[in-house]
Amino acid sequence: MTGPTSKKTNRMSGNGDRSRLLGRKLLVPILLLVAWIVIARLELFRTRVIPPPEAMWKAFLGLYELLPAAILTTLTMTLSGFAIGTVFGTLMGLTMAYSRAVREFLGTVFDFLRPVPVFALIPLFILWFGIGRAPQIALIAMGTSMVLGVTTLEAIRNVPSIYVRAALTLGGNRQHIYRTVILPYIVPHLVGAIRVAAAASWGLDVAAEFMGSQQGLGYLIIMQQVYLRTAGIILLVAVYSTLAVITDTIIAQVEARVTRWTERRAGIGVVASIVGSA
Amino acid sequence: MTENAGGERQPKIRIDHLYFGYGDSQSSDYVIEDFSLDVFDRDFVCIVGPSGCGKSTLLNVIAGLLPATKGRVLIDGVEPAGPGPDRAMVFQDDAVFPWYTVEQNIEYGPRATGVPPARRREVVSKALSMVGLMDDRDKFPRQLSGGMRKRVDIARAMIMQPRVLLMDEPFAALDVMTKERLQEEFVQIWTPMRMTVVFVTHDLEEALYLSQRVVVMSRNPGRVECVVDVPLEQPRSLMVKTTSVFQDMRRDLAQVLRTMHGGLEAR
Repeated sequence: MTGPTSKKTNRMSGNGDRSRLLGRKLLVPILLLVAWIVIARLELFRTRVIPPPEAMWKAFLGLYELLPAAILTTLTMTLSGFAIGTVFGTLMGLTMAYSRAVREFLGTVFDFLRPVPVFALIPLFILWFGIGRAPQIALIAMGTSMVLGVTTLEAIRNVPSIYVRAALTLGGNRQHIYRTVILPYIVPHLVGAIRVAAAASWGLDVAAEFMGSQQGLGYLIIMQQVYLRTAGIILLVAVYSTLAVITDTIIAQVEARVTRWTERRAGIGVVASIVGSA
Repeated sequence: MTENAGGERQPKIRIDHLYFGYGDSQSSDYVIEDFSLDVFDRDFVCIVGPSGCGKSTLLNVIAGLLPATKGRVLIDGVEPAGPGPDRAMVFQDDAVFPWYTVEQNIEYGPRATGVPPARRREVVSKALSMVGLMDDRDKFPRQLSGGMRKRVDIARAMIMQPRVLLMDEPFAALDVMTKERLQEEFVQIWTPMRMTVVFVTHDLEEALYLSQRVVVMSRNPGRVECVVDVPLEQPRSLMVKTTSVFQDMRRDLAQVLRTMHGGLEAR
């Protein structure tokens, strides 16, 4: 999930360098594509296992009338679950750090819920909320909020005490310190967690739609499987991954803006080369 | 200056038989034991001692960041309930908020204590020019040198006009050149204001250059070993460091520390 941001470090000089870099980046994808075509031509596998590239176009023609509505459904569900979960999880982490009472009352429940595999809850959610959007959104929200809740708590615990001590001797009270020290400090950490949670929420959405949905991309995938249309599945997976990459890119853009104050490693020199940012 | 009923001058800070230990009050493992000291209004007091003698801990107790195990710390005759801007502190480590610009950092205290915006702008711009950072006010701390960040830290604390300014080895992490320049600048800033300062350092030259009184602390447990008055005229220029009076005092202080603890820290 680091693809979109790492591109901006190509501070090469001439045009020749740039095209060589582009060539290196595209080499493996092109090889894979060629391998696919060759394998399909040689008919090494049945087309149900590995469909030929031209089958993709046919699959697209077959699906394209359904796609806009399915994308819209999936997008609204995933994004609303993700948004609810992010807000709820962050608030939960903040209140648990802020108030000892909340921590003591809810901490145990939180600790027991955290390791529960969210997918295991799907049947339960269906029993509780029925089939439809509500349980699906709830599932995505729950998975997202756990990630954010844990990260928020952990990030707050790691706030260097010197900042809190400085704020205290400058007259800050608890609430003011939360707003002016804790929150700004944890934001860069949260953005990382939000990216992980966004990626996870697409997976949660697929799982949720597999369990008795009547619309959306996940539902279409199941339908393609029923009719043994492998190309259709691959096409829909590609749509999913495109959506995920787009959301990740947007979050990465926001990240760059809100973490302006942090010491970003310059994309040059030995250190940059060792940590993989150059 | 406040006078109490007896006509005696009331100290700005009275440290009264202070004990501090990290365990409970029953245990006898005190970091600071039976420490008493009066600091008067407009005094500049330096506390020196070997590392681990509890001088930073003492400062944190005065600031209200650590609770006294036994004994009291009185500020203007009152025991404060916790940390507050009347005892603003400058730290050794980088305590400037990296997510705020220079100006926002300096504005932190006035904002936290609800100073109205117009007044805030006025004091902030005064503080900015005081430490010579007017042109850098929109920069983030990472864009500044260590010395400049320290200036931000000092301005941020002094803007609160604390009853007592607490400084915990503020210049210890800086290189020698920067350190001397900041010492000199600090004297220039402090002289017209003359706020009460308690300054912890392990650098004897720094202590003698800045303060009117040097308190030598012993280690295990931390208590007052001796108090030395610095009779040099104020304000002092850096040249004072080369005078024989200064060098003699430095030697004597180093001798005190050496005989106390084998002179590990004395330079």
